[in-house]
Amino acid sequence: MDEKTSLKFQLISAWCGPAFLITFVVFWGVIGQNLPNPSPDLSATDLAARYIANLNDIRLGFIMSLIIIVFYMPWSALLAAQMARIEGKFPVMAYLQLLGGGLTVMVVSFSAFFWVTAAFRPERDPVLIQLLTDLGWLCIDLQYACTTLQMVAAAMVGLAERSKTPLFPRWACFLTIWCGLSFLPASLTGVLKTGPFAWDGMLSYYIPYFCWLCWFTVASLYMIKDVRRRMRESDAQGDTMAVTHGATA
Amino acid sequence: MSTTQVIPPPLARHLPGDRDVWIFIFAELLMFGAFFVAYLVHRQTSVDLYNASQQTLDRDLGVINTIFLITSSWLAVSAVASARANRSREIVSRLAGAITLALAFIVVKYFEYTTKFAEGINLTTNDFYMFYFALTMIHLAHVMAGTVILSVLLLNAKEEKYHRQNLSGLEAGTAYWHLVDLLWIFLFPLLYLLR
Amino acid sequence: MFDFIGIHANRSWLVLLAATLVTFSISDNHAIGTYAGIATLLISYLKGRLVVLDFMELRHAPALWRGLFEAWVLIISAVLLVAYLASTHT
Repeated sequence: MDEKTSLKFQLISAWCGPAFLITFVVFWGVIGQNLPNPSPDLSATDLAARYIANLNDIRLGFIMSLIIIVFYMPWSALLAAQMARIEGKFPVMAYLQLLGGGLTVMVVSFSAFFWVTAAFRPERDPVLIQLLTDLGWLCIDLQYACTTLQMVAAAMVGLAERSKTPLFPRWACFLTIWCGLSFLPASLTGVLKTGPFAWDGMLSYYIPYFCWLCWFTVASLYMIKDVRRRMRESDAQGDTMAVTHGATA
Repeated sequence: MSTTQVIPPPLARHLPGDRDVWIFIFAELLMFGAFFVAYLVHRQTSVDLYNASQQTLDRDLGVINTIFLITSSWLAVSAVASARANRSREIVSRLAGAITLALAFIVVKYFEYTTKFAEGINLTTNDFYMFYFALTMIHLAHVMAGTVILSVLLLNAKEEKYHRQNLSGLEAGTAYWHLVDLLWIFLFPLLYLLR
Repeated sequence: MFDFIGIHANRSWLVLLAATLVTFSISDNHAIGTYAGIATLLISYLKGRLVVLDFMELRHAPALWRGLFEAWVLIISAVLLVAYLASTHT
C-alpha cells in the first residue's frame, strides 16, 4: 500500500473519533433516555413503565449505539499505530492501549445490549426488566478499569515522547491520567442505590462520563493534527522528489 | 542621546517540580472540593443523623492519622531540602521515614474500617457512613498511590540521583504527597469533628 | 549548629502539630458549642495555608500558582464554614 493511501485511512480513523462522539451522545445519551439515566432506586414496576413509555426511543437509541460504538475501534487502532511509532521496537504500551480500547467497546456494547433485551419484551415480569437494566449499568460502570488503562498507556507514551512535534502536549497527558482516575468513584455503583455515588449520581455518572468525553475530544484533536502534519510532510517529500527528478530529466 | 535606566529584574519566583504535575494536583483538589460540597449538601438534609453517626467515629485514631500525615509531609519536604544541600543519605532516610508514616496511616485506617465492619456498619448503613467510607477510601487510594510514588523516589535517591542540579522529580513527587496531606487536613474535621 | 526553628518548614511542622492538638481538644467541648466548630475551621484554613506555602513551597512560586492554591484553601474553608453555620441553625 502506498503512503498516500495509508495516510488516508489514518485520517479517516482519526475522524472516527469525533463521529463516534457526536453520534454516541445523540443516540446513547439523548435518544436512549440516559440524560438523565434511570435511578437504581426505581421500583421494578416504575422502571418497566419507563421502558414502555419510551419504548421506541430506547430501542432506537441503543440499537444504534451498538453499531456506532465500533467507531471507537479504528480510532484506538490509529492511536496504537501512532504510539507504536513513538515506542519503537517493543510497542508494549501501544498494544495495551489497543487491548483497552477493544475491551471498552465490549463493555459498552454489552451494557447497551442488555438494555435492548430489556426493551425487547416490555410485557415481561418487571423484576426481570430490572435485572437486565442492573446488568447493563453495572457492566458499564464497574468495568471502567480497561478504559482507564487504555488512557494511562496513551498518557505514558505521550509523556515519554521526545520529539519536536509530539503527538500529545504534556498538559493533555496529565489531563488524560486525571480523567482516567475520575472513574474510580464509579466502583461504588455496585453497592449504592442513592446519593452521588449511585449510577445516576454526580460523582459516579455525570463527572466521570463528562471527563471521558473531554479526554476523547482532546485526544482526537491531537491525533487528527498529527495525521495531517504527516500528510503535509509526505506531500512535501513528494514535491521535492518531483523537483529533483524533474531537474535530472 | 539619553541613557536608559537599568531596572533590576524582579526577585526570581520559582515553581518547584513540574508545572504539569501541579496542574494534575490542582485538578485533584477540585475533584475533592466537589466531594466536600456533595457531603455538605447532603448533610444539610439530615444534620441530626450525621451528627449522631459521627459520634461513633474514633477521633483519637483520626488525630493520630493527622499527625502521621503532617509529619510524613514534613519529612518529605525535608528530603527536598537535603537534596538542595547535596546530602544524599539524608534524602534516603527522610523519605524512608515519610513512607513508614504513610504505611502507619494505612494500618490505622485498616483497623478503623474493620472495627466498623465488625459492628455491622458499612457504607450502606446510612448516608453519613456512605460518605465516611467513600471519601476516606478514595483518599486512602491517593495515600497508597502517594506511597508508591515516595517509594520510587526512595529507590532513585538510593542511587544518588537527586542533588541540587536534579531536583524536579523529587519535588514533583513530594508535591503529590503534600496534596494527600492537604486533603486530609480538611477531610478529618469535616467527617470526624464538625457537628 | 543546626538551627531547627530557623527553617520555615520545621517551624510550620511544629505549628501544624500544635494546631492539630488544639482542634482535637476543643472539638468535644460542649461549653463552647458552635464556636468550637468555627475555631476548628479557622485552624484548618491556617493549617492548609501552611502546607501550601511551606511544604508545597509555593510561598516563593509565581503569583498565579500561589494564588490558585491559596484560593482553593480559602474557598474550601469558607464554604465549609458557611455550610457548618447553616447546619447549626436547623
